[in-house]
Amino acid sequence: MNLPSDREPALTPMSGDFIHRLVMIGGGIAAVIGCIAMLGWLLALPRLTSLGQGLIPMAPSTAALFIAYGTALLLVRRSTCNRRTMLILHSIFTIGALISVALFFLSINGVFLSAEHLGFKVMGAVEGSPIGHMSPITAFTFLLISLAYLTAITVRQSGDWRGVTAWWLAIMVIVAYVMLILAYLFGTPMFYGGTFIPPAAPTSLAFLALGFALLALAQPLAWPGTGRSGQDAMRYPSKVLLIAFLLLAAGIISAGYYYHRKQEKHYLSEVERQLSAIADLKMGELLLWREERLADAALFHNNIAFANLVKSVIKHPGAQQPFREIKAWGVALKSKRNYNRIFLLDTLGASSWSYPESASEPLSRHVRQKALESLRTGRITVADFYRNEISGRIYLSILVPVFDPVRASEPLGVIVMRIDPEKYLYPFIKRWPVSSASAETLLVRREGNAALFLNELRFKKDSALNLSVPLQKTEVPAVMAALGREGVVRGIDYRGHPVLAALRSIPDSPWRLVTRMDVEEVYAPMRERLWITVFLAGAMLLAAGTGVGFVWRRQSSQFYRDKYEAELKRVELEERLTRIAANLPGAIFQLQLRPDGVSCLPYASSGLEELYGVLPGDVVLETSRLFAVIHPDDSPRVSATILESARTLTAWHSEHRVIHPERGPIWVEGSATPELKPDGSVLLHGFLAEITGRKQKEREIEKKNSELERFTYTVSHDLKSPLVTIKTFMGYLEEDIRFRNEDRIQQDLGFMHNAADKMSQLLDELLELSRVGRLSNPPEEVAFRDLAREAVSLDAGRISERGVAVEIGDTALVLVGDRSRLVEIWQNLVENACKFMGDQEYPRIEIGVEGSGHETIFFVRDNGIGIDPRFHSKVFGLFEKLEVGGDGTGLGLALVKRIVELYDGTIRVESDGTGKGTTIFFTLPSAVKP
Amino acid sequence: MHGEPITILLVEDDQAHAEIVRRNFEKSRIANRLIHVSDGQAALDYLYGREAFSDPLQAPRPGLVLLDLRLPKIDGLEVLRTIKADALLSQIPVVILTTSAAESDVARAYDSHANSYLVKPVDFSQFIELMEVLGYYWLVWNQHPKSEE
Repeated sequence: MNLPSDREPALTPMSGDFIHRLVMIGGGIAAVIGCIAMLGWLLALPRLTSLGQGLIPMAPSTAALFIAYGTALLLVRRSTCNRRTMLILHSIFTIGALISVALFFLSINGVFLSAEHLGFKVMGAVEGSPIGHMSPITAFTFLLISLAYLTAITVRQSGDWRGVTAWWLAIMVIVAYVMLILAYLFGTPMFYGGTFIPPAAPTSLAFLALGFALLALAQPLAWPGTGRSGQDAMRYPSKVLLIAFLLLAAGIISAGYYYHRKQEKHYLSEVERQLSAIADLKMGELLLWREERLADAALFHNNIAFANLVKSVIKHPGAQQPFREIKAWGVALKSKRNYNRIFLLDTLGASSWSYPESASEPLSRHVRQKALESLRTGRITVADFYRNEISGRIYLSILVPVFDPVRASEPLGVIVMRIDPEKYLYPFIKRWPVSSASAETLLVRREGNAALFLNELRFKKDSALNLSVPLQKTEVPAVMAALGREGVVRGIDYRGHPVLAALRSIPDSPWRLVTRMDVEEVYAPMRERLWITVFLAGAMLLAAGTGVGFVWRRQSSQFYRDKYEAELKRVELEERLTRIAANLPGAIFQLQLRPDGVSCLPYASSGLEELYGVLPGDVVLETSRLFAVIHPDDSPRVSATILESARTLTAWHSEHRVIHPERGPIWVEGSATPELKPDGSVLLHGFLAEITGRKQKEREIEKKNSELERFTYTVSHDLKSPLVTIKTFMGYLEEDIRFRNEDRIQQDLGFMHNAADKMSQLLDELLELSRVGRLSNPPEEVAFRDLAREAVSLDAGRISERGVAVEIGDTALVLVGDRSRLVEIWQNLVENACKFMGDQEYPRIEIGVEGSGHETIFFVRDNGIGIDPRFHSKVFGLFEKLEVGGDGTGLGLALVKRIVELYDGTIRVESDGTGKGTTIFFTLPSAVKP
Repeated sequence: MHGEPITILLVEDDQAHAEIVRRNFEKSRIANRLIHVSDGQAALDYLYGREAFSDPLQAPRPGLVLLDLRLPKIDGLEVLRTIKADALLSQIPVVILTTSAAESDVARAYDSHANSYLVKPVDFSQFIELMEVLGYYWLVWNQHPKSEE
């Protein structure tokens, strides 16, 4: 199980990509709009900067800021923001904020710097606002948005109030600019004609994009657990809610838009109907008036009585009577019919009479021509609006040719009934049934390649017969009318204002009637309604944002409450597990074997450290540190059994040695049950426990068992041996008695005696040995010297027999234990030493102590025959003898060893070989008082 | 049927038992030369001609070894292993003659290539009979390998 240790834990999938993408999209859109506006200024295409005729364009300064901000937002990368990028972002937003503050105050105070044009040629104004300058509203928004962005990229902690502020600021900006855009869509942009420069349409769009980007950026800050802090569970609803808000916003906007359009359409048709009605009314009156005039003329046409009168006036210029009569006609016509002047022209077109006579005004050449024309055709002719060259006044004239009553083909002259339009016609045309600021009726006539205005215009002086519009300008309603179009149209009037007009042609005349009204006036009531709609939409948007926000908040707080409770529960469970596990004698664990061969311990209780010297945290990812401390001889077996268990899904059990870094070698037992996981990995649940004590006991038991076995064996062998001797020699004895072999009888009996003695001695010593197995006397304190002396006195016989010099070490050491047992140690050792003194000339035995405390080592040294090093291991064995001839049973040293071991001591023999003397060293840790 | 007299090496720490063996061989008159040593160390010294047995005339190569298992200094099994591991000695038949009938002893002895394993009977007549049969079998009937000397 050689497991790679440099393996990185798998990263969780990048979260918040959706939100990050929104930021990039928002920034991108703002930058693109800024670029388009810049392009518009560069190529002098006003449409690109304003998105519509008559609308205020985006200032170059505004466009530059949008490009900068949009680009900055493209730079915002969630977690990989390095120091340099952060510095750039901070600089951009800070400089932007400073610029917008400056421009805001300048603009408010009416100071416009040409530096704002960035070198572009900017001239003109829209509705009194200078173009090419940033609106103070735009500047203020830039300031707010800069601060919000600075906050959003600086604040890292979720739930910070600044993050929340930035989020709400984003919502406000979105709502405000949605309203502005709506107003643009409805054709009634806000703030136009006011004190301040209004924000341009593309500006509003760009701010909307920046607002959404800010919303996305502030999202994870305002609503912790969403976006970058990456709770998958929370990301889904946050995404859904964001989309829900966007859809809601789109719904509100489009619903408002269509509602308004419908209203507008309805209202417009009403206005059109009104216009048409007025046009029809005017037309009817004009027609009536014209018919009346022609009827007046018809009165004189082919009138024999009148012809006679004219004839006598012309033929007899001096006669009083005809002049009086014709004057009466003239008076009647002028006063009752409102004619300006009545002329009587002769056949050459010269004026022979006129009423009123006083004003001797020359006739216009146009009338003279018309008179000749009427004489030629013999029909009533209308001299349409014309200008008298001399007086410069505008008139209409109706010409009636008068022929000789007798000779009908002979012309007498022409009656000219001149009408001054100022008197009746112009006021009548001007009259409007309701009060209106811009409504007006025009009379137009096609003249050559132009449409000629026949009446005085409301907004232009001296326009009658002076002002004409070329027929190419088909957007002008007058031209449309001149070209014969009828009905309601939209167009641009002579002033260049958009208007709504009803067109009519007056039958049997060159006249065309245009009743028109400024679109602005038409829409004025609509605008009021629009405001209501826009504000309603705005309020609904705000409500939607707030609603979505609250749902969001509720959801996230619910989510966090659940999470918190789950966490609490988890902590409680974990604590419970930890507490229980801490009281276990070993460790409990989960071992995971992944399909890729990596193994790890997802869970291990703290007991792991005691067993392996490895913290549970060190093996969470992989187990190499654990296997490093397992005894190298056992490690392959442990790995193999684990893998086998995982493969066969059978319980795992193992006893192995661990080289604990602090506690040294210990024994550990482990067992676990494998479980196959859906991902193909195997999880072993199990426990580990230290079994060093048990192993030690097992070893001791094993040792005791073998000792017991040896004991039994030895006893059976050694006790059987004398038995065999006795039985056999009894047989020999019988034979020898039968054959009276006296010598042999004695010999046989001797063997039998020896065997019986040996048996008896063996039994005694066995009894002794069995007694040593347990301590019978209560422990008492006894000085080492006293023990040694007692032992020596017990062996006094042998010592004096052999003449051995015994020397006891001078020490105040005190021992605690079973006195008689302790004495036995030295007694046996001294006895042994005496036994194997050999033929030493100066036999000597030294009883002493080395070291102190637990290190105290006792020794008994002699200068006897010594022990061959080959047999050192054998001397402490049960019934082991080195000498055949000796009188011992081989039990002495075995007995000593047992007593030493009772006091947790060890014993060894030291001898350089035969004839070099022997030293027995031993320790008695439990008996020595430290 | 029987060739040259064979030297028997008896390794026995119990003097009484050695006496029994000696008496039996004497009685059955098949007694060749019986050499008795009382511990494992002495047995190996004899076989290798060391220490007290350095004279080949005094210590001829034995044709049969009667070996007790429990011996002072060097254990009987150890002696057996040494003999059977030595190319020069391994051909010498080694008969284990001991009081122990323990299975482990028997198994270990045969594992170490003992040629035979005999348990000393407690009963007198059986012991006598065993010794008789042993003598005939090993000294009369058994074909010994040709001595290399």
